[in-house]
Amino acid sequence: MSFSFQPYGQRACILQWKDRNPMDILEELNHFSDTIRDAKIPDLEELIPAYDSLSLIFKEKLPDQKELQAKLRKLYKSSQKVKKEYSLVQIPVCYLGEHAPDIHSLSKMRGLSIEEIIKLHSQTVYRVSMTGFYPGFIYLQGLNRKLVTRRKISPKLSVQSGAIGIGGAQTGMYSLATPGGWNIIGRCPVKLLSPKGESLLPIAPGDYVWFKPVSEEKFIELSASDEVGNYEWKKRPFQE
Amino acid sequence: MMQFLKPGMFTTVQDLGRKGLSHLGFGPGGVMDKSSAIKANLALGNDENAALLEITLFGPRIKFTEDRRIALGGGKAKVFVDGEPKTEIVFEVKQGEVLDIPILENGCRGYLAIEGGIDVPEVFGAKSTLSHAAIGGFEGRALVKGDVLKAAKIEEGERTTVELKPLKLASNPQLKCRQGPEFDWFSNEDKVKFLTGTYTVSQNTNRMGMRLEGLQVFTEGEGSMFSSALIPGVVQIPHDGNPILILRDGPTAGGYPRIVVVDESELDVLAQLRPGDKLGFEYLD
Repeated sequence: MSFSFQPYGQRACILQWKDRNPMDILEELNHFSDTIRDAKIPDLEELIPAYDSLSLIFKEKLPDQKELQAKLRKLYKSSQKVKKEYSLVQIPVCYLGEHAPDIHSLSKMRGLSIEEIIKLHSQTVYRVSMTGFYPGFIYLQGLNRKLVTRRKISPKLSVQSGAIGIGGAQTGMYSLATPGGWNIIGRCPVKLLSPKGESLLPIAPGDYVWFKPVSEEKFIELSASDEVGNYEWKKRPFQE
Repeated sequence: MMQFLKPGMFTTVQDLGRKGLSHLGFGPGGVMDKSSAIKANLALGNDENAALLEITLFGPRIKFTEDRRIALGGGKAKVFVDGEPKTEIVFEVKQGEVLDIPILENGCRGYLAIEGGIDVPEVFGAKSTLSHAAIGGFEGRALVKGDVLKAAKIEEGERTTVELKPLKLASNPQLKCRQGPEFDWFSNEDKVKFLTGTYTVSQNTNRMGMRLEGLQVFTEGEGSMFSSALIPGVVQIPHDGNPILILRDGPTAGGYPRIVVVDESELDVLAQLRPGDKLGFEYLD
């Protein structure tokens, strides 16, 4: 099955796979992105893969649409499925008190107790669909259907760094304090983004994560150890 | 060197921004009003991508420890040198003199270009400050009192300069736009409402985005979508119906329906609007 092609403003286009489940096309999209990158399309500045879409931003304006579309469809066909290595990363989360400002409203909306929310959210292995939004944000798929909750009516002007949220059928983590419209149910005490380290993010699309609930005391402890650079991510090779 | 006696409201070091990192959440960033910044640099014979200062509404007071030519682009700045008013927009500040830019008389962003450019390290391919990620520019943040910036060495040899003219500002601009990916999620009635309405720039406006106040529009049905790429100039409609225009430091992905995308050149126009200013849209498709 293929994608729809739509211009997206003056200098971008968006390819969408609306009839496919994002869970099934993640690796395919990953490989297709690599193929496009390798093809070195002239003036292509940004390539942004997402759950069920891929956006291409060009330098000044979108090239001839017919030609571009034909080229992309050809690349899509030729895009080989290569076996990639993925990791499972453990993310500590405190689902309590000030770290979970929206957990009570979510509990009301979903008719679930706080304990049930924590259980449902932390007993799942999620897959990283995409990164982005703001630096270090990770988007996850695999959210339990009982937890699916609409984004806020209007995004908040600031969400704390490390916040874990639910936005529609997605869950994810804000690495930086930025505006945000998701329902915040917990917070990770450790910084995910290290612009000064060798690798920007310890997690990439295709990787798996799970959330380990921690107490408020443990939150303080982990946060302090991260502050002095002593935290090491628990990460191991993983295959489903 | 330039010593900051007063930082101004939000003064940052910027260049023309980053490329190729949107998939990691690092958007393009860079100067908000590109054409004004480029013109200010060219007036001094600088490279168009030389790092300069972006001033927001209220500017800095800076003591120069060496002679440097400067150029002032963007919104019209009120300027004093050692307390004396100055009308030129390209001139030399002498060693020991204090340059004071208390306020912009129009527009929202001014550009203070320095001959040779500002000397800050490149981070991920650019010198621009991305303050929410605390990277780039001067220590990844807006300037504060007491900061000292270095001007880069001026390269020897002949340089051509381009005359700098004061910026002409559009009032009540009609922003050229094209349809966004979720345009058809809106009823015809709401499309017309949005495209013909007048919106007011909200107080909640910064380098990331501009919230708009005016007619609310709503998507039909539940309108829940998977997050997908955002580009500067796209207008998102959250569930409360109040549009948010994504700007250069804005998010690279989002999950609210995208009704339209304004053309690239309109980003410069938007950069000069203040809270309270009015704007509208002109549909091109």
